[in-house]
Amino acid sequence: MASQDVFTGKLVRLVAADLEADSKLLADWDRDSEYQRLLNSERAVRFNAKQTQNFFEKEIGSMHFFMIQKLDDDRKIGMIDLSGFNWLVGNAWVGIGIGERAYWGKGYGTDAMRILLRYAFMELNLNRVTLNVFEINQRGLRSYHKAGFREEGREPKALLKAGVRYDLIYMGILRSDWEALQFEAQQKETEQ
Amino acid sequence: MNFATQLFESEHLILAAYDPEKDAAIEAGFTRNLDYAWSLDHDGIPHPLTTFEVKKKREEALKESEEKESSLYFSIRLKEDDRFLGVLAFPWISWSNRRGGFTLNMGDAVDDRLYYSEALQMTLRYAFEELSLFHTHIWTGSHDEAHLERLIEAGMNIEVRQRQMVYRNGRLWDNLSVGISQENWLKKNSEE
Repeated sequence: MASQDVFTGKLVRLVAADLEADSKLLADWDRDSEYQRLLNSERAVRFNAKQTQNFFEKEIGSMHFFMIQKLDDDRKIGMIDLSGFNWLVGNAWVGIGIGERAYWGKGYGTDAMRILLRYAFMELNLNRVTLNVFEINQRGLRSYHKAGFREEGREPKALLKAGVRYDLIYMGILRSDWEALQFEAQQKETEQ
Repeated sequence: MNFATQLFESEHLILAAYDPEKDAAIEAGFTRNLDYAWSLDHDGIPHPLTTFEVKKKREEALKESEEKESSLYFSIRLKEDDRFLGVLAFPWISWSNRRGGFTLNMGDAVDDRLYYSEALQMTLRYAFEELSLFHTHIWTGSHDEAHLERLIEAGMNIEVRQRQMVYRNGRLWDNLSVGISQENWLKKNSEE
């Protein structure tokens, strides 16, 4: 694979953020409170573009942050990042959000996650990638399973919204899990 | 348990405010034990810390605790002679979800053997009867069987097992979240 293709998948590519323009986009996406509630356990709030930009200017050095851009029309529809690196064990946490709800459930997030995992294992030499997801986010859960993540446990009833509690599900994928998936995919291609 | 229960005292121990001027030098000595150093930062590289580093870390944490009110720090002291034994911390409490984890570390192996369970009991009582948390948890590694046993004895359960996420003693271990709900803790303690 040519190195420039590391960040390109079947539906999307991952690109570095334009902090000024994309901060406006990210702040706009927060208008959708369901999007915020799926991403974060704390109270949904609104930040303006300048506040969002300030946050990223402060934090960008400690994370690998990408915008998710559609291949067919270059539209930016979401974001994905690796952070919380532990280089001793080769772990990082992934966060992902598709801000444009018209593109929910259409495979864009799964494609972005597959690109990120390829980058994590092939370029960053990580041994595992970790995430957590609320049980109410069934679409996310399905996508993470598809990308190869396995459930590693739950904090019961961790999230409280409108008087209802939901589990926080922890998921992880080891390099060995990911390599087995690549091998299976290659076998299938050979058979066809 | 009632309103007049002394939350900061148990048979042998006192929960006191952490005092960086007095406690940091002793705590720096504790970090010669890499188990203690690791417990201060699970994602870092465990190494002995200087008094300057521990004091700075604790002062920053105490400042953030005052400003954001989403974390709490206590020193654990022996009632008999006020000796500093270790630290109890709630590094992040989500008030909107009534959840938060804790760390509980003793610097000396003998003190740990004698007083860990007693300190744990005081920790859970404070978490559930004063902070009114719905659930709390502590992260530990699967290598640390001694503490795991005492957590289980206190009624806690392994809820999350993150594979290969801890490196100690020349190999990878699992990272475990061991938790208990307020409901189960109250039930267990009303039975006893």
